[in-house]
Amino acid sequence: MEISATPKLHAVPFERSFIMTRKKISLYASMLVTAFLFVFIIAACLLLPKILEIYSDFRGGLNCTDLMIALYASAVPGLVCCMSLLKLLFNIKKEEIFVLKNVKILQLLSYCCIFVGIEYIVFGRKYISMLFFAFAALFIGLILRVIKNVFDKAIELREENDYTI
Amino acid sequence: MAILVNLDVMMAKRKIPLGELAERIGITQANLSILKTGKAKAIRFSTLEAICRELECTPGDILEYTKDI
Repeated sequence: MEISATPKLHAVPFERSFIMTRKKISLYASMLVTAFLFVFIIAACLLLPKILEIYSDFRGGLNCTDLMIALYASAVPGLVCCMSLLKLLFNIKKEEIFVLKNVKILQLLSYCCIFVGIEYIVFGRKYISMLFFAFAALFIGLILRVIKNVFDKAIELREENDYTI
Repeated sequence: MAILVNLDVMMAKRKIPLGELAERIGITQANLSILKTGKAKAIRFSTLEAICRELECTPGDILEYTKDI
């Protein structure tokens, strides 16, 4: 019995038939999840007053207005992040990867995360779990910033390679 | 750039057009024109060897160093 070392390809009939590789499936999966996240954030925005009402009753009539402000104020960067991620994924699909506009998208993503982190600290400081979320948001913002630095260097290398005849 | 590419001079001397030279060397016409106009950042030795072989010259005939101020 021979174990095949080549990646499994199987042709899927679409409008234009192309071979679906594992990486392409991964790309489309990312796009799908991001689209779901976008819809989820909008749904959460609409349902938030009800959820906070239940939470407030559960905590014995706690005044949750600053928590509501914190969560609503973070919905906007959240939606902006989703749209930026979709734009980035579409650029990757078009084979434009190490390009200046992707660097700008990554910068926007990192600033959104850092903004959310700071805003959670300011408005949600009464709630201990919000501080954990704020730390997580700041951490993610930092990671995205470092990835943006990596992309800057990658653009340099790609340009050097493209202009090597 | 401080390195000038005098490819057009050599091509005129040997009377070889751009497209034909690109085909003979094995690079695309676009890449050869990038090289000719001085936009290239680096050249592979294999490409340089092919150019010198087709134009019957030496690298010094094609590449020139100038000090930019």
